[in-house]
Amino acid sequence: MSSKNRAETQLLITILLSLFLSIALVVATFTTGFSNRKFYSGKTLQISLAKGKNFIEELEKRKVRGRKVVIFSNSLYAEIPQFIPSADGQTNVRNLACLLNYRTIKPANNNFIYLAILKGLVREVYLFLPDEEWRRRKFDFWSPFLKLKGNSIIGNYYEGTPFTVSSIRNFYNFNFKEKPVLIVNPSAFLNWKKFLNKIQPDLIFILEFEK
Amino acid sequence: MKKRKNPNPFAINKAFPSLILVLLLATFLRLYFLAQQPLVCDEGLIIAPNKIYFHDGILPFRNWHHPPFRYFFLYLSSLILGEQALSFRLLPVLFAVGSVLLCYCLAKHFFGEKTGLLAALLLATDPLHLAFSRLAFEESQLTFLILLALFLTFKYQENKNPLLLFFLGLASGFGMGTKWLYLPVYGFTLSYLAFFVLKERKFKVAIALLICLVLLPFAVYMSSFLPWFKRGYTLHDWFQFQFKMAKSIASVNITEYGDLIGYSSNPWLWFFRPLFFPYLFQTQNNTINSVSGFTNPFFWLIFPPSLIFLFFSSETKKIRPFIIAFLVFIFPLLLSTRPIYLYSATPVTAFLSIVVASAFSALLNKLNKHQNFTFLLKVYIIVAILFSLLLFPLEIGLPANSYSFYQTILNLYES
Repeated sequence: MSSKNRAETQLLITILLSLFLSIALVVATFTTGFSNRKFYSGKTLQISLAKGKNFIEELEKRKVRGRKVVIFSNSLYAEIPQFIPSADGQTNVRNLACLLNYRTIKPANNNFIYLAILKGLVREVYLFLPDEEWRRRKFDFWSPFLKLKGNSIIGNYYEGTPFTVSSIRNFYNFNFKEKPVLIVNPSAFLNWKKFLNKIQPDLIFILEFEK
Repeated sequence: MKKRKNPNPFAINKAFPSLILVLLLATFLRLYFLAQQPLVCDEGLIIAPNKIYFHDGILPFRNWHHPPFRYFFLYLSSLILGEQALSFRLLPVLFAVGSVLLCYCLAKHFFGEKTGLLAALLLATDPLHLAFSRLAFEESQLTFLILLALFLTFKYQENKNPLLLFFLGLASGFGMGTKWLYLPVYGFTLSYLAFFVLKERKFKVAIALLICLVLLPFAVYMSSFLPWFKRGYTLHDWFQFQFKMAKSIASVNITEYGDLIGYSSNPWLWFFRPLFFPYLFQTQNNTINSVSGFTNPFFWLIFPPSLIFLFFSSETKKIRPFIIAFLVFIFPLLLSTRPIYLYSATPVTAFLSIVVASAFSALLNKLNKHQNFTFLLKVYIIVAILFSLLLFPLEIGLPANSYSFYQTILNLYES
């Protein structure tokens, strides 16, 4: 084979190999997300806040995965993912066993949204507070990793999961693009059903605080 | 300088035994005391979320804005060797030794074997590269991929073997997926090769360039997010996420990290002041216990004049593209308004080794009739390398008992 033919063959092999590998990688990565997103046929479930763990089991049982979650609540602690200082390796960093156990560290049992994020069930979270609650407590949400922007706290990601907090007044300014899972605290939002026409969730969890 | 024909850099030749010695030295310096060296906080930030990323697609709490290929090799290593400090640190060490070899190959490509050996020796003993290539994070991997990309670029320009483009595309994808600090080098390699291809008007080669250096790196980079995609995200989500990552990286400022910001986080000062980055620094009973990266001022101070000398000298014009690659790499850091931590200078040590070795070789060649001067140059290099080795205990957490001696040296440094 002359050197010119050899060079042409090498060039062709390079082009085909690169093209094949690129297409294979893009298609594999691109289709993974869609195929892993599971929707439910729609049924209202009632769980109590104390049984946060059941929420996770219900999500897993119904194979609800890769979903957006919209929460109507006035509760600060049950829904907001809590930072776990020791989980980032800053403390106990000399203890390798502690670092390796990061994945099994359990946040507070009522922090079920964080648990859902940790299990990869949820890919985006929107929390809407009553207007009065937002006005009183919005600066409670501020931290170096969550930033106040206009009338919402958005932008920075928690564990790689987009997290947005806003007042219910802004609800209709959001475009959710797909039906979310809805979690409602009915005692904070008496007329929560009027919002269903915008989002039409396929799965609704109604929270009841233990008395 | 005399032009030399560059043979296959991996062929066995006279320099081979010396090269093996240098590589063994590099390996020894990076393996000694490795398992006993205390873990540092940035290792914790990478080791802790390592497995959870691959199992659940969860990005880490603190460093979600860095691309995730940094976790890939650590995870692979832990699968093969188990979850222990040594296994997490072993692949960075291998990448570091690979960088020393690539340093030799690149410097040899420009100015021959002796320059190659000197460049390899400088990197093997460099206190900054040594310290940070012993830690389980991505700086060593990034340095290796930058050197590999530049080596493949210059070799392609020399022999036009198209398969080199394929490997360059893979290296670029891995590089971008390791840290975005790679992007300026990617811009350089793409522009450099595109310039020559367009000049020669070879349509088929242009197609190959487009596929290998645009499509393939993009696909490889995107595939590093596969565990993240498995959580249900789409391509649209991914593009949005890239913008968020960029915004977050650019917004790091002093108020968020307070006392971690010091002189060493100003890239301009890297070249003009002795600096160190202490991950761990304790003094007790006249003993210093430190895991820190140090710049060697003997080399960093002469780095800018060496660059200028090599760039403008007609005898050393072969290295000009490499110098341009370095300038393309460093200028975004110099112009950045956010703090740049000293460990990000790890790739700079590779450029420094090659440039300083090349400048020394050029000077020795030019002034070979002036024996006193060449003798002084050689003494300077030996003293500088010995100074690097002197800092070794302070880089690896080995208790340094000569307190007053080391304290005298440390008084020269700022953190």
